[in-house]
Amino acid sequence: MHDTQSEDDQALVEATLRNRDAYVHLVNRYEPVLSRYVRRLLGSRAQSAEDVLQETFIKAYVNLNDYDRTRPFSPWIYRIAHNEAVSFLRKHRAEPRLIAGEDGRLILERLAHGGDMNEKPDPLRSDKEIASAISGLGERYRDVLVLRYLEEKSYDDIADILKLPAGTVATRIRRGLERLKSVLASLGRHGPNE
Amino acid sequence: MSDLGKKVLDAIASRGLEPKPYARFLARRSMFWALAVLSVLLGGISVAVALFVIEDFMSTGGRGFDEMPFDDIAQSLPVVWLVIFLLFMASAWFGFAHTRRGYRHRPAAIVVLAMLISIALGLVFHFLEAGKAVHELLSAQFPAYREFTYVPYDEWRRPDEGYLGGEALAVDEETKTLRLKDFDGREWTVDISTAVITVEDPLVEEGDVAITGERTGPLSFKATRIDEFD
Repeated sequence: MHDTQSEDDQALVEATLRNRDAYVHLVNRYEPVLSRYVRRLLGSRAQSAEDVLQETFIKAYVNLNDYDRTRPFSPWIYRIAHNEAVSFLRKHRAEPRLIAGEDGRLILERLAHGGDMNEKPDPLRSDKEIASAISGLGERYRDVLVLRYLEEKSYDDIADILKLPAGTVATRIRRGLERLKSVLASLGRHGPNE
Repeated sequence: MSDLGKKVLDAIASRGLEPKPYARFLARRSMFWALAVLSVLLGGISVAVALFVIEDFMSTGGRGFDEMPFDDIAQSLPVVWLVIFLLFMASAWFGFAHTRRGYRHRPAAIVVLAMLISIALGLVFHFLEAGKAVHELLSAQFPAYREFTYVPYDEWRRPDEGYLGGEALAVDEETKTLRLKDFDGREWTVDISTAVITVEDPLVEEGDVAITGERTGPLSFKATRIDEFD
């Protein structure tokens, strides 16, 4: 299915280069996922997500010839969205990005489901606590965990989005999970909702 | 058409934007590839020069200077070329990391690979005497270069102090004299009647020789010892 979408994307890129109006199909296809991703990155600034998204698509259009046709389109446009969101936050000197409570619980559920973490999310632990634990991991670990467990991207795609060596992505995910386990264990020792 | 789709297309139209041409991106990527390749090549040349300087010092530097002070040895190390080599390796990494897929490789892996290729090229260049050619060219053209690099010929450009080097042109067996062209192109008449000659081949076949002795005139010298130079 991924391959089919990739082929469709390639065809839409080609069509856009021939006729600008065809670009709307790419925008429509990626708006839902990128909107969700940008909102996650912007956190408390999520109300600016549409502006960031619009600039993302404009930048992607202008740089369409830079897209490597041998790779899927998705990581390429995710990278532009990521850079735009980070740039927006820097420009506005915004506070560190935070994970929404429900996203934090979703990460833990997917971790447990995928066998990456043995413990299931403690129902007594508040969404706020979980989100706070993930937010406290630091940007370098939070970014890869969000892409892996919320956006469900492959290691290869994450490497392309964050422009990192694939080995570094794997290392950051592993260390991020270790830290997360440690923080959650610490929360458990102090008791839920404490 | 979604709201966002319409807004994006309207913004593109109102700003008069068009996709940047493919050639522009290709040129940018090619520039970084060229930087990486050139850096590795120049790294290879710096290795070749460093090898030449080390080898030259080993074969000629100590001769006639038995009590050479430690700072002379330190000076002979091609620090300049080692630093230049490292700079080229950093530049090779920078170039490669900015190619389309360069970011996928660890910086350490890129640098190590660039070093290995440069060292391999350096050995080939050294074998082809490219290091010697570059070293001699820089020594002749840039006085500043000589201050930072050991130039073995300099040791043998001091006839007033008893050290003369150059190419052996001809030997007159009757007068026991040697005609020698020094490294600055001047011709000398060298009295070799009492000299200890350590070279195995006839002097004129030896090429460059290093002579220890005493200056006896504007272009005349009395040798006490003659060694091979290379």
